[in-house]
Amino acid sequence: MLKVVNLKKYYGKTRAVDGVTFELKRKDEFFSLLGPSGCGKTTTLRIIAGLIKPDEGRVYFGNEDITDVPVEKREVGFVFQSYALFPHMTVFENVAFGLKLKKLPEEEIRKRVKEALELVGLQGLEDRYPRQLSGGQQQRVAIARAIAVHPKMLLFDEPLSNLDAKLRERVRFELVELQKKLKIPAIYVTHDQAEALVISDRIAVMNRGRIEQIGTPYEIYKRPKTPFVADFIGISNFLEGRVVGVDNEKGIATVEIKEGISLEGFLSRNVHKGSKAIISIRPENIRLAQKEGVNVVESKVVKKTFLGDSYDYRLVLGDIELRMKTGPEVELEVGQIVKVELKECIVFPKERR
Amino acid sequence: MKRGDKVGIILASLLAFYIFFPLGVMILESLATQWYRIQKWWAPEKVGIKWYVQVFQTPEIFKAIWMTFVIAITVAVFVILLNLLPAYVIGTGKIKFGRDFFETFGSIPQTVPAVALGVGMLPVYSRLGWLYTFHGIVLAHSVGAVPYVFRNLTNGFASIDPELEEAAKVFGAKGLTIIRKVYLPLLKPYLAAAGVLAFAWSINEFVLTMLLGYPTIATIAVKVYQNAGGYYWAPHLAGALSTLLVVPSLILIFLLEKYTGISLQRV
Amino acid sequence: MSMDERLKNFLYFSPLLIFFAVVLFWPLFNVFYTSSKEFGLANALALFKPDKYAWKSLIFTIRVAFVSTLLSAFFGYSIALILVMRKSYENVIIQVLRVPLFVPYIVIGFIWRALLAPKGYVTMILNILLTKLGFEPINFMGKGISINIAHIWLYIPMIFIISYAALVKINPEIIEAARSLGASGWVIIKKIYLPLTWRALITGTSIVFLAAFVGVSIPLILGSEPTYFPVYIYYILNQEFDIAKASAMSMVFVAISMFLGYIYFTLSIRLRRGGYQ
Repeated sequence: MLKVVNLKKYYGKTRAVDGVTFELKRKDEFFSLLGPSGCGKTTTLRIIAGLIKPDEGRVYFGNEDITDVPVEKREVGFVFQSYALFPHMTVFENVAFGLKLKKLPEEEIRKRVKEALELVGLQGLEDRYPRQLSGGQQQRVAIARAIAVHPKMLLFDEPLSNLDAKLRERVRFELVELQKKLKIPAIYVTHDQAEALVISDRIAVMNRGRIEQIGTPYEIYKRPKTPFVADFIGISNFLEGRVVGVDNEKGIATVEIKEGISLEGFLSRNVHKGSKAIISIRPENIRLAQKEGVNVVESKVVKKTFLGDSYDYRLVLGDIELRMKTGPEVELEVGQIVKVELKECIVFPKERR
Repeated sequence: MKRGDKVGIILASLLAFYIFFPLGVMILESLATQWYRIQKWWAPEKVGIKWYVQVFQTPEIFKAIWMTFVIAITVAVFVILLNLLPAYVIGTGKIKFGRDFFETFGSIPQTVPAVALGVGMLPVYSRLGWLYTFHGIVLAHSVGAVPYVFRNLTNGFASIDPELEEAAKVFGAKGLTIIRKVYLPLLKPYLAAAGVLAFAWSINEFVLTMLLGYPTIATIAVKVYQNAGGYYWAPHLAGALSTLLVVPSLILIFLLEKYTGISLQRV
Repeated sequence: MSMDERLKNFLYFSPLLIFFAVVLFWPLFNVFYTSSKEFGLANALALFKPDKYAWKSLIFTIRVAFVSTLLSAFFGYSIALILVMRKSYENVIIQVLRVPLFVPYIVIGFIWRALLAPKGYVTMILNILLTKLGFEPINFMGKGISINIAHIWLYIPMIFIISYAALVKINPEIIEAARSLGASGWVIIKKIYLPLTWRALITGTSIVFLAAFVGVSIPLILGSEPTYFPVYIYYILNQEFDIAKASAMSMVFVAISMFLGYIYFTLSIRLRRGGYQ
């Protein structure tokens, strides 16, 4: 399947892509590149498509090195952020564009266009021009155009970012369904972590031109390997402290965050006793506790915000502030002292960035 | 920009040569004090600034230079004043209907050939007694400058947030005060563009000056014409006059674009 | 809109209207009036009989202007295409190509006369090459081709600027989409760039044809046989002082330029409104 090895692309001094390596495992894998803007995800996708030449590194498809194959020979389906529909062509002509270039017989073209439009649910709009369609419809035409040529893989560059929130949620599922039906690999670029978690088989989280972590949505969310991943995916509290104990067998470390307060957490990477560390805890993993125990601390409620389906509490632990997310049934008052258990902490070695 | 792209370098140098070589020859002609073109046809025997000295020492030519710039500046100011209010009404969308009509209307002079206009203007000017007068020439030059000024000012007014005017109205500002206090400061780059384009149009204008102003009023363009074959072939003097016409305006445009960040649209 | 506001808007326009009335519409009316009343339609038509000089001059002028336009359109649009597709040194090239637009026409005429004169650089270099290759040396002066050469120095940049402005407006993702679907080089030019910019190209060529057709300065300095039509009118006016005849000939001009101007403005308004983009 698709494999990229040590891709590098520099623009002057900016390292847009700085040594990216990954491999798709399955033939119908839905793989996402997730990261903030400017992290190099789109550049990586464009290198895979052949729209940009990498300064270093190779792209393989199957056993074939396709690094120097131009985009027009790669047989990829690319769905652009702006949809990039040809404004002077009808829906039919747009979808048929790639097929006509392949010099397929008229009848075959008609058949395939019909097929593609049916797959995206756009029958009957063949003669419209792009400007006569809604954003959602234009988006579907872009997908139909990409799949009509029967590409070897599908590449998506933030294709849903121009849709409104509700439509976006619906189209997500349709996209995955479609891709599984076609049984071709898909690479999906997005900065929206919720979107990536929902649709991907695996996610590569990128930052500053590098991959921070590759894993299933579950792994990425539950066991972030770096503070960046913990911060970017969902919301996390970060605490700093010093490592006072390491149990490599269980993969657990104990970190003292204040005089007399220590927390246990899962190791993300090796840490040494005595070194500085960062602990991350998700707001929903902070629970009210009845009795003393491991990772149970006393704190004071300083702020309370009702969010409809939940409460967002701000707690203070001396000079440390924590966010806690609870169900709407948990009623606490500002000023109240509560015992809370900090579950599923992750311990990261503190690095200088 | 891809540096080191061979096609780019070749194309850029070819075009630079194509555009600048003729201008270089213009300057060379102006500096040649002796050029027989018999054995050595490619370079003058002697060079110097003799022709420039002559230009400034011949009262008649010096007057033409002076006249050229006075006329051009007057044209620029006059045409801007003429177009300020119409451009305001159209640019800010005060007139919703017929915007196309007025845009076309304002651009009519562009499609009228100068010669045809001159043919028509001769009897009109002679009846009005405007022939060979300063204001007559200023008005004649202004016709062709209108489209540039009209378009730039309209774009300028259109680029300004209409809420600014409403905000000014809330504080009790009216009509001209709004234009003076709100629009003019924001309009500066567009005014500069309009002014320079009108100026460039005026110094370029030749036929109407020749038909309606000469011999009382002569501009550099007229003098270039006379020395470049109109009356006699004096390429060195014509070269000096051309250089005086071209180089200052190119520098002016370059500086204006550099410091205001605007790009003058000649077409 | 209230009556009051209408009146006010009209007042805003009135200085411009008066200006146009005196120095544009009245003269144009004069041209029309003089040519029909004083000169007469029959006389005017007689001027353009195939054996008359005016007719020869007109045909020659249309031919020269047409060739200049065609060459400028080809080179100007090609340079714009190369620049959009390769994106190298674009700022330099744009700045360089804008220079001729700010050189007075009369100076352009002079410069090319100096270059194309029998001892001018272009003529000399070309003739040295031609004689070495065994051909007859050529002479540019008085021929239409010298006007063409001077024209395209000014008009290639014009077409370039107009086409380039339209070409860069095309969403680059559209080009990438076409490539990802298997289109390359020529196909992209034919199927994407040209269909999306033909309006700009037509606008550009009509401006250039108009300018080349009616411009006096360049052919006046370069000279030609037969005389360039606008130059011919200029001579009738300035040397024969025959306003009636000049008016009659100008009518052809006014008619053709109004027609081309109409095409140009309807297209350019649509272009400004955005068209496809």
